[in-house]
Amino acid sequence: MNGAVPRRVTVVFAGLVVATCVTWWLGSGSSRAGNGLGLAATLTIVIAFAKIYFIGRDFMELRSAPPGLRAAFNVWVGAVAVAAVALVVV
Amino acid sequence: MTHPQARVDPDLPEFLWGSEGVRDTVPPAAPRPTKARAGHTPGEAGLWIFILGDMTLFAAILIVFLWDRRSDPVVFEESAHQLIQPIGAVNTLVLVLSSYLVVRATYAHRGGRHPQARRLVAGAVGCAAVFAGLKAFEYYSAISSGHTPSTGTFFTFYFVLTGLHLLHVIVGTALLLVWQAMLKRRRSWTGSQKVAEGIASYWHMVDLLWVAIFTLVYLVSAE
Repeated sequence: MNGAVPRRVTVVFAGLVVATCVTWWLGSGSSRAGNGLGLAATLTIVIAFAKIYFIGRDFMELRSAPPGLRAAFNVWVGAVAVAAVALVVV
Repeated sequence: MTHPQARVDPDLPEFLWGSEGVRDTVPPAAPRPTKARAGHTPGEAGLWIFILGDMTLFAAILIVFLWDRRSDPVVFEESAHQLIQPIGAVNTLVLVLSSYLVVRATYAHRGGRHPQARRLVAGAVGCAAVFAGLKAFEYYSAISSGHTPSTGTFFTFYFVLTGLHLLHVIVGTALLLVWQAMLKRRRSWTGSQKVAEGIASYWHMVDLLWVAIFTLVYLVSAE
């Protein structure tokens, strides 16, 4: 390994920056015209936890981690996201 | 200790079992891979128990926060509007940038490019300082507006969650400085892999926890 950063990591970083701006816009209230609060809140939570998933997969290098560790992280992301959506929207 | 069955040769004296005398009759062991890419645990395995435990602790506090919000959504919404959302958003971008710098530092260290890795870790430490500075300004602004941990349920959660997180930022910064000292001494990747990967993983955890806090406390509560 020559230590070169894979292009995928930089793409994920750019995606995280864009996603942060999108969630901020969704949460700021600018997006609510014509949409329900529930939809904006759900989208905000889903995008945020997708960001967390990619931070784990590509920054923490869980992509190549043992399946058990990867599964534990993914279960955390999924469970907290579902619980958050349920408590906010339902 | 028992000898493997394949090495036991009753025609030879026991002290020669498993020696050169019988090695020709035993198939060679499969070569051990020098790099375990797939299935590689970043850092120490025990560290991940701490990381997942810490993440679960924060998740529990956030879920209780959302549960309490259901009983008084109007007060939570009004309280969330008192927070300075742009500072929270900028701090999210600052931590995402710091995480990216840490990833690049990890790759630079792996490639033996110590000066580059040091600069990248220094950049991450700079991001941590910006985060802490903005957080301090946010606390100053909140407290001078009369919002303290005892003001109400929302602000109790706000100060507990962000305070615990700030503590993690401080610990993470100290760990980044340890890594930088290792890089200054030009410690090889082989000799410092577990520590460097562990510090990087911890820092990424600090980043992802802030993403959850910003989303649920600053954004969703204000909706």
